[in-house]
Amino acid sequence: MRTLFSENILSPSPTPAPQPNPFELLFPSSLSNASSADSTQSSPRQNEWLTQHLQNQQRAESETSNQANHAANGQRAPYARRKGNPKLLFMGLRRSGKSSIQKVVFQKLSPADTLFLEHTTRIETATMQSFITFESAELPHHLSATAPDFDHHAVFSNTGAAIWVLDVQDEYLTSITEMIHTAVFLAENYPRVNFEVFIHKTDGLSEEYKYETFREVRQRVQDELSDLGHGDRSVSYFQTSIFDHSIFEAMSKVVQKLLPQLPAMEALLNKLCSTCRIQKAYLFDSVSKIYVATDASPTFLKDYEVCSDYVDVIVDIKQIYGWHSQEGDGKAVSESSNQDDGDIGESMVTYDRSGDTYIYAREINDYLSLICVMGKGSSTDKRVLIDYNVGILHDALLQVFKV
Amino acid sequence: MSNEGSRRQSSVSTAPPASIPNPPPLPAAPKPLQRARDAAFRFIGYPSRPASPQVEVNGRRIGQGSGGTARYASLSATQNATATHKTGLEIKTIAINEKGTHALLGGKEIFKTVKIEGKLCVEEVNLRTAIRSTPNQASGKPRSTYNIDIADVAWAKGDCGDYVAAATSSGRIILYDLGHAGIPAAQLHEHLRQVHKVTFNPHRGNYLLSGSQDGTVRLWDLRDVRQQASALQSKRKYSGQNDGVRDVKWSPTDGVDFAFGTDSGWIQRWDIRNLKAPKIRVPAHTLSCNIIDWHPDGKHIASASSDKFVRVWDFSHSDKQTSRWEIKTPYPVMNARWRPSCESSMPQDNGARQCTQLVTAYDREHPVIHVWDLRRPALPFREMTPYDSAPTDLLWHSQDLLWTVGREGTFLQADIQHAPKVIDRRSLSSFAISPEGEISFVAQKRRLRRSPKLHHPAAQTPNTNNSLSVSPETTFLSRSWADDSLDRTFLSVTSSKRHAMSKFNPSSIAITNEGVLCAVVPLNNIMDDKRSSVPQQVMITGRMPYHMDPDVFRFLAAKYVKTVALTATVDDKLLQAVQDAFKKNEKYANYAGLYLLSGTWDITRFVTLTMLKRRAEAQRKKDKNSDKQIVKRVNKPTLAELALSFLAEQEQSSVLSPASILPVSILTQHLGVPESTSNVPTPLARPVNSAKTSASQEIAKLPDIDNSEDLTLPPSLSPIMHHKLPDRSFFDSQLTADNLNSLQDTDRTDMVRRWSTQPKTLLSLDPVDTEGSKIPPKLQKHDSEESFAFMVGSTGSSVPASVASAGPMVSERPSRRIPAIGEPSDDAAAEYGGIEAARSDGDAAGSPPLTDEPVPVGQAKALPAAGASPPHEVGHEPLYSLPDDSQEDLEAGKPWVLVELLAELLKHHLKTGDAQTATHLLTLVEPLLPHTHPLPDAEIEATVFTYTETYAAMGFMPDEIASIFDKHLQHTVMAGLQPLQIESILSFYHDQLMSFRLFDEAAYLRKLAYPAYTAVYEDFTEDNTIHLKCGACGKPMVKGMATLTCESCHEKQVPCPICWLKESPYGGGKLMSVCMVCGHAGHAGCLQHWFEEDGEEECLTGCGCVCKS
Repeated sequence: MRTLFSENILSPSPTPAPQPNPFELLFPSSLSNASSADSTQSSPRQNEWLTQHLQNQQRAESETSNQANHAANGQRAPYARRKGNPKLLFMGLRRSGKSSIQKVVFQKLSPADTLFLEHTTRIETATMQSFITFESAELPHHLSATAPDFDHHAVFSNTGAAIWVLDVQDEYLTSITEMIHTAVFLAENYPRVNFEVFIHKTDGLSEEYKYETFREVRQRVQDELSDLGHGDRSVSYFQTSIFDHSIFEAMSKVVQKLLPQLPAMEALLNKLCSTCRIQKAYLFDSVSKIYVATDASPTFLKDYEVCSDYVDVIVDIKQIYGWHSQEGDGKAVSESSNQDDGDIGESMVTYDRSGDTYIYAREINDYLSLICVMGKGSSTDKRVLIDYNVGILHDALLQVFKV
Repeated sequence: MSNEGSRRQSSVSTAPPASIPNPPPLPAAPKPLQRARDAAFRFIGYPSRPASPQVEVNGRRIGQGSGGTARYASLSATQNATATHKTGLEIKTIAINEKGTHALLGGKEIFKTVKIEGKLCVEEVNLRTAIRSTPNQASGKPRSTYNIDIADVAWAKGDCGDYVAAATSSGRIILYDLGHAGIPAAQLHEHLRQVHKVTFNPHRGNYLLSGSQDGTVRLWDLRDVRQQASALQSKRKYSGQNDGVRDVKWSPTDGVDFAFGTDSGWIQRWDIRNLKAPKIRVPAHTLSCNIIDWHPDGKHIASASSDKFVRVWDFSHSDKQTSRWEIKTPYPVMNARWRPSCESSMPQDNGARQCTQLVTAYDREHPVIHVWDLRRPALPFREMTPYDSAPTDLLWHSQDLLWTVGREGTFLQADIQHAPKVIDRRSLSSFAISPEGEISFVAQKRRLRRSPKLHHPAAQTPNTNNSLSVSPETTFLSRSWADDSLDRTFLSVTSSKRHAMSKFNPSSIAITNEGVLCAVVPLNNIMDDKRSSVPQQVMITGRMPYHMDPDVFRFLAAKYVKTVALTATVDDKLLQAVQDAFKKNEKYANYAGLYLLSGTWDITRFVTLTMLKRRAEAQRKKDKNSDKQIVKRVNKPTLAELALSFLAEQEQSSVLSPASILPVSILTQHLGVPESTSNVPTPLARPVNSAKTSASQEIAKLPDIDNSEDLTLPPSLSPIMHHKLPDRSFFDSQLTADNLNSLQDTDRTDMVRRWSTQPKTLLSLDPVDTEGSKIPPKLQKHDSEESFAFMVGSTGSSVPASVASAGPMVSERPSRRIPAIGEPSDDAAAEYGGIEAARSDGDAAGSPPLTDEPVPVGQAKALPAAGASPPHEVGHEPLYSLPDDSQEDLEAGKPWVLVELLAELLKHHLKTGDAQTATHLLTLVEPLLPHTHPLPDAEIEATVFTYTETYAAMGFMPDEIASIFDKHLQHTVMAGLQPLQIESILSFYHDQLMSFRLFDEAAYLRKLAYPAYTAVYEDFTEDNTIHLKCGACGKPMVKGMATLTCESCHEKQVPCPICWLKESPYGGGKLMSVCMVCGHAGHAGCLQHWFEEDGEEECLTGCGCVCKS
């Protein structure tokens, strides 16, 4: 298991993970503190320590980005150890939709406006400050990654996942060939880089055609990789479109693979789901609408869409009433229960006349929220149980990400 | 959950205990009774450790004769073996022991074994209680876990048959020895994430496979438990996945192979000896593959996924794969299992076993369970809904018994023979009609359904019998091993095959094959033998009766003359044109072999020409004494004024008008209005509004828009106008109660029928007929035949023609008699004489016919026709209709009044759906009709209101609306045709043309219909664009002149074939010109040079088109 935040996050005593996000201040430094400190007001000492750490982190970051810039200019940079943030590298033929994905996911561009995007001519990077700071870069097609004169090191050495964007509405055979070259190159030189394939622009295609092309691409790439001796290398394939939620779900799965805390979070969510009869639980990064973890039950895009829209609603309301007000941000039912560790942002909305099934949202911190699709049998009279268990989950998550 | 498909093929066996191979079978005595009785004892015992699946399969047969008979009563056809065991705790998973006697239930708060004997379910070992009561682990350390959240359980086989494995969501697998229930025998903790499935090898029961969310499958050996209980290491690890393994199953035939399905939809086949790479790797699904299951033949595998497909793959070779068969399920599939194999019904299989069915369960919201048969994958074979939510896990105990567990905490043993068949709830016949008039019809015979009465052993009707297995013993004892999907309804064996049924007595086959080693027929053998079992259906395809032959339809649509050019006056030229048009149509109908239709055209031509000649005559007379023209005009509003007043009114009270919101509903709403006009106060119906009466009373002239200074709104109408809207809204509420259907159903084609069956429409006529008080003054004032006709109406037996002709659409009103064409010809000879006379005279004032009734009419008609001097109005109206020069009914008294004839013809042709003839009759005759038979006032008003609304909704300006009414509808209404009916006829014909892809004719029809009949053209007014056509590929070039490069073939286009330049060297700049015939274009200047100065006539591209002409 590769680690990004720290080397041994799963070990009993995790070392502090660097958190460049200033809002990470909201995490209490320990569980004992968590009970006393309001999440908005952490102790001064803690702040001091965090600020210090933050500065270090930022320095490291700027260093990295400088290196990246140098790399773009063709200078050879020394090996830089991959730092805390998941870094994604988009690749693919021109006009395959790399910039669109980047803009839509990380910069909240309206999907319809992506029509007017210009060709990308140089490596463009984007970052998004949220619970997890995502760094994404786009490698324009004419900068061939496999060319010997290309500065692979600067580009790939700190990349977490390389995403090949394949335009399924175009002639994709050439793209597949290039993709296989790149995949083989990465497998040979940078085996730690995850290779993901977005079979993109699937909107507007018929179901049969979608399935056929999806199957064909997967089979073809797998066969070719096997022939080249990299059959054991796992490549993930996603059908994506910027016009629906599929791109977000695909990005979520890509990002999840880069999170070392994923098994821990997943186990926590599994426990919560089985205890509280929750159908599906997501841990959402509120800003990006990417979920960093979910429970192990089968995922349906429908569930994700509902939850994602709900997160949107919550974020919108928070935009109106302010991020730091820790009062309830609910829409249908909003309560702020006073527990001993301060105010909790939580809300519920039901979309069912009987009220049996509803969505329960609870903020873990400002940038991370737990969204649960509740099933039958977890009606509101069981709220005490749910609240208690979610509280436990809350604390456990804080421990997982303990600073 | 282990893969026990092959084991459970052998569902009846009393083999000796484990680890001893089956003894050689005694040849079972083929006593039918005993065999059948034994057939019921399926769930007794299994050979616990078969040497091979084949032997195991054999074991079923072998064991039949010998054991277990003392323990169970016979399970007959009508007996329902359904059994339940309620726990009240959510059960997540179920496993079965090798013998099939016990079930192991696992869940978050439950972990126990249940013994099932017949219909009895008894809890045996409660592992959870034992765990909780035991404080120490096997190693002596204190117990660390209080709760184990079980995701899957499996029951070991063979030597290790006492062991059970429980997979937990934490990634730990805990082994328990049922003999020492409380203490975990071992904890296998190598998976980092949740373990989804555990399964034991069916051949070597100590091998355990576990598939986990962390993307690995691990192999464990239970024999190691005794040596190293504390730290059991996995033997092998199979990875190469980066997504979770949802299901893993051992191959039923090959002891070293297994397969698994992953979260991203891959399924893979591995050999446990090869750690590197899978044997086969198939991207089976687009979404998560939730379950896989090997077919008992060991070659095929079914995979089921969230993407609502169950696909069956051939895993025997590693070629590039596509699924062999697939089932499209209605919901995301969460669970799927092959049904244990049953005896093949094919004689050539010699009683071997086959398996074509599988059961599927869906996601949480869809509690139904379906049993599918691959031989008929389009619909489920059986379905059942055991719980409120979907079952969490299921497995087959034996061929008929399905074990399911659910969130409700109930373990259910369901007898699948008692689950209802889906096909019994379906209609077995269906038909469809193509636009070209072909009909396809599929039907199937439904077997007489005698559902067995449960718990009544007396009713020994077998539920499932096929033609092959009907024999005395199977009727008595139901559960044959045969394929229960083979009944006549769902699938049936076609017996007229190369294996003559007469040679093989099926029951004797079954008997003689007792003890013969019978393997599972590979699935592809069954499926490829398409003829073996098919649904027996009958299909009929053919032409529909009473439907137009498509060729004839196309021919007539292309050939028929649609309109004639109208002239201002009725002169010889017009007469000639009309005659030619009708004659042509007659000729084409004759060509098409429609002699009756050509006769219709002939008669219509005759009547029309007669009428026109009469009008010409009257016109000539009128010209002579035009000085006597009467100046006074009628106080009747034109339709345009009516419409304008509606509009104005609407503006004032737009809130009150519900119709203004929804233009679609307008038509139907106001179709219903006349129905409720009986509630309207009588002033509406005052005879002074009647066009005929008022016209002939005051002056014999309709007002013209050009002379509208004379026009005033009649005082009788204006109060009605003001009452109208509140009234209408009131009626609307009534209407919803009355005929909700007609409000909701806005199908235009349907309108024709509804219109003609409108029970009562015209109020204005009712008072005329009933209120005698209104009539006498008319009689005194009138000298025209209308008044006389009214008198006849009030006195005579039949409705006078003039009254009935007021509304052709209302002719089917029950209260009135239908003025049919044939009516006057009751006394045909006399009338025919009358016609002859009229024709010979060429004068309307023909010689009086001889019969009693028409006589006074004819006389009455003759007098005013000669005496009255109708005003002559020429040239003011645009030529959408023949200028009506006469307010006199020149046809009155004639046996055939044109408008009535037309109405009858329409009615006749519409009855047979022949909108083509109806349309052409309308378009030809309608402009020529005289204004003598206007619609009743209430109907006019309703129609005008409707059309006003529609036009307003279409976005016409008020003055445009007025002019539409003036030019188009005024004439139609005055001629006595209901525009709504015409509109629906035209749009129906238009639809027909479009479905026949006769676009030119449809376009022409739209042109005719514009702008009056919105329904015809409203879908075609937008999105019409003209593009340049690429010369190379013929596709449109959307970008136009800017690039001149075809988007589809990237061919560069030449701007102008003459100069090849951007701008013409002959002047004229970039202006282009196109030949509308061949479509070739060029610069206008160049073309001019080409055609004018060079004197060329043909197209310069050499296409042969003589463009200049």
